[in-house]
Formats: sequence, C-alpha cells, structure tokens
Amino acid sequence: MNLTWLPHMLQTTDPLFPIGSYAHSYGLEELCASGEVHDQDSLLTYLKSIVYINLQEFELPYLRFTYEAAQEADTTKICELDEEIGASKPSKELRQASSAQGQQRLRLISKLRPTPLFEQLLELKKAKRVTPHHLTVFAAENVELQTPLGPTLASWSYQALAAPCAASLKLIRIGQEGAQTVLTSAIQDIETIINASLSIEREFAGAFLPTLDIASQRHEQAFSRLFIS
Amino acid sequence: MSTARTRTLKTLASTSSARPYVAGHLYATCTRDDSGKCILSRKEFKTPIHISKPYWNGSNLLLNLMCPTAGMLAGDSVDLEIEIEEDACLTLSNPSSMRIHKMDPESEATWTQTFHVAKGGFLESNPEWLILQGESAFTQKTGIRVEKGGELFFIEAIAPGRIAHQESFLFRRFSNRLSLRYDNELSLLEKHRVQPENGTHSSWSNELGDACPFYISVLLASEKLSDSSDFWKSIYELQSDGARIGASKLAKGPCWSLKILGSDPIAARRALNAVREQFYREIDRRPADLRR
Repeated sequence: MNLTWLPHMLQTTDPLFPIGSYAHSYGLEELCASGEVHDQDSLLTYLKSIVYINLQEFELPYLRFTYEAAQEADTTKICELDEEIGASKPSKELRQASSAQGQQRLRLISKLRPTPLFEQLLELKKAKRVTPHHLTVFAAENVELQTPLGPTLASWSYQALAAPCAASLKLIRIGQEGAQTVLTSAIQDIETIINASLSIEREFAGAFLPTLDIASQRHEQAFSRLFIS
Repeated sequence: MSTARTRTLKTLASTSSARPYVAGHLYATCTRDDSGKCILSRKEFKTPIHISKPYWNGSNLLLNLMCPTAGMLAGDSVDLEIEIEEDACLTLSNPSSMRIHKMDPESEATWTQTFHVAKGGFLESNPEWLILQGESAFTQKTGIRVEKGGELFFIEAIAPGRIAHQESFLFRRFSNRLSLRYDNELSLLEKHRVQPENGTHSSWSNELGDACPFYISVLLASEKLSDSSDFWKSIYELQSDGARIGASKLAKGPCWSLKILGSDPIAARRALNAVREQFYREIDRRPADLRR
C-alpha cells in the first residue's frame, strides 16, 4: 500500500495549516443575519442547496481541470483556468477570499517543500499572469505531493463543507455537537457529489447560485460583520 | 461569423412531426453620423427577429426587437451581432417576453449573441422576461466586449416558468454562458447548466426561505462609477420584502455585477427601474423611454 501522500495531505488540509480560512464565512454570515440560516436543519439545507451545487458544478470540475493541467506542467492552461476561476465570482469578497488563501497557501507550501512547479507559479504570480486562486494552488500542491485525484477532490470537498460548519459556531446557536452532526450528515454525500462532478465539461462548468451571490454582495455593505467574507 | 447566417428554413428530421424550425439573426451597427445623430449604419435581420423603426431621442437611439412568433420552439436558433461604434449610443429593448416553449426531450432552442462597445460608446440591452416554460431546453451564449472608455448597462431577466399558472422550475435544461471583457481583460465569466431534475436550481428556488424566482442580472461598466460611490449604498437600500438585491465589483475594469431576485415580476422590475434611473444619473446620460 502506497500512502506516502496521505500524511502530507492531512497536514495541508488541517486547520493548523495557516491559510486564514477561519476568517471567512463565504456568504454564510449574511444568510445568518437575514435569519435564513438559524439552526442545525437550516445549516444542512444551506450545505445541500448551495455548497453541494457549488462543489459539483464549479469547484470540483475546476479542481480536476487544474490538477490535470498541473500533471502536464501546462502553465498556459493553468493561467487560463486561474483567470476563469476569478472571473466566475461575481462578488469581490468571494474572489478576494479565494485569492488571499491561494497566495498564502503558495507562499507557505513553496517554503516548506520547494518544487519547480511552485517556483513557476511564484514567477507567474510576479509577472501577474496568475493570481493564483486557492483552487489553483490546491491542485498544483496535490499533484506535487502525488495525491491521487480522488482523494484530492474528497479533501477539497471536506474543507468546503467543514468551513461553514466551523463558521456557524460563531453565527448561530448550534454548539460543537450540532455542527458535527450537520457535518457528519453532509460528508456522507461527498462520493455522490464527486461522481456527479466528473461529467461536467469546461464549457458550462459553473454553478448558478443567485441567493449566495446576493448574500455575499450585500455582506460587503453590511454595517457590522465578524468575517471577512 | 455564426453558421446561422447561412442557414435557411430547415426541417428538424429528428422529430416525428418534422416541424420546420427557423434560424434567424440580427446584425446591426450603431454609428454616430456627422450631424451627431446615432443611426443604424447596418441592419440585417431574419425571422424570428424583426426590428422596429429606430427612434432617436436626441441622445440615445432606441431599437425594439420583436419576435413575431410566440417565442422559441424546438430547433429554433437566433444569432445576434450588435456593434456600437465610437461615441455611438444604443438602447436595445425587447418589449414583450420571450417564451421558450415545451419541446421534445432531444430538442433545444439556442440563442447566440455578441456585443461590442467601442471607446466612448454606450449600450443598454434591456429585454423583457425570458420565460423558461415547462419541458423546454434552451442554450444561450453571450459574449460582450467593451473597449476602454465604453459604457454598458446589460440586463438578463429570467423567469423559471409561467409562475402565475403554477408552472415553476419545470423546464428541462437552461444552459447559459456569458463572458464580459473590458479593455480585452476577462471581467466576468458566468456559466451554468441548470436542470431542475438534478437539483441544480436549488439556490434559485431558494430552499432556505421565501421563493423569489424572478431573477435579474445587470452588468454595469463605466469609468464614471467608482467603488466608493454612494450609488452602491443606495442600491443596498433598495432591498424590500419583495426583492433581494446586491452589487459588487467584477474581476477586471470598472465593471460591476448587480443581481435581483424578486418574489414577483413587478417587485423585481420596480427594483430594476430604480437601479436604471440612478445609474443614468450617476453616469450623466439620458435614458431612452422604452415605450413599453
């Protein structure tokens, strides 16, 4: 059994890995402020009606496209995909959350485990050819750590579902056990979401999430807020 | 140039009824002439598209697009190419809703449109509702290029069925792809394939709260807008019981996305009209009377 990639993946997806994700709610804060997400059940509905769709239709397909481009060391394609990832976000806060975490992840991983691909990404960033967004760096990192595609998609999915559960602790009356109950229910669907994402092609890869877009856009103007996004 | 230009009336061989379908187009160029008036220096159109006589209000040329058929049927396609030349100013309006009708499972209707706004040019595209009726499938592809110094107010208004007749989210598939480039940089890329059968409509139908199915997206581009402007605060305050509204700056250029979800078409349109009025005031232009 070759599991050399596993400890590295666990390290880079652990909340201890400092990329600042704890500072973002990714639009959830505004939906809590409006009262639409207010308890365990509505948090699970939020995950199912928004986060699942975003994973299946947008994030996992783009993670797959970028992972494949990184495997081929096709930096032109990586730059194109990174540009599309940024342009697909109609909210400045969500775009900045993605770029801030991508840049921090790249800075850290390239110090901890320098490789020619990370060096290239840093050069491309310096030349303003790539942002790079969080998905882009995560894909490149897992190619370099030799994580197979399936676990790469699964670990991204886990983080996408765990992050709002973590944020919910500060936003609604839910408690640690409540948040873990929601997360336990959601992670059972990860395999189904990944399988559905595999048939999504680049031409229409994207999620239609008007409720989230508006919530995130309104968060920018909110009078008070706990999270950056 | 799209192949639609060379297509004529054809027969959809795959349907048992062998229904004829139409491949229409509109190719138009708006130019400012020597007298300062905006005119259509090029106009070519073909069924199902018809256009009104352009109306010049002294600052803005209004062109109404009409589909004399009741909407788009299986196999129908339309190709639109709209060019706004330097310092020209066009408002493109579609005064009646465009319905995408019920069709066979393998069929779809398609709409492909490109818009180019040159430096100093202005385009408003303000269609009525696109209505995705039960068992319809529709693909829309939009490419917008705005040169530095050009201005844009571009609306998409979409209803997921004939809501008043209790037909909601019963369409088969809606594939939409829109790109906005400002000064040759990608500012927005929206792509999605919504299929209520597989649940990809769940944010639109809003499982978290009250239904607000009337969706409007507005793209705004102008160097006269700035992120710090009070304009955005006033947009934020337009939210009401019947309409959610948000706005944010896009990835590149002086471009913004504004989205509205309305519980009914009147509430959504009311919010849109307020945005339109304030936008024109902000960029110091005179809007066209849409004559609807």
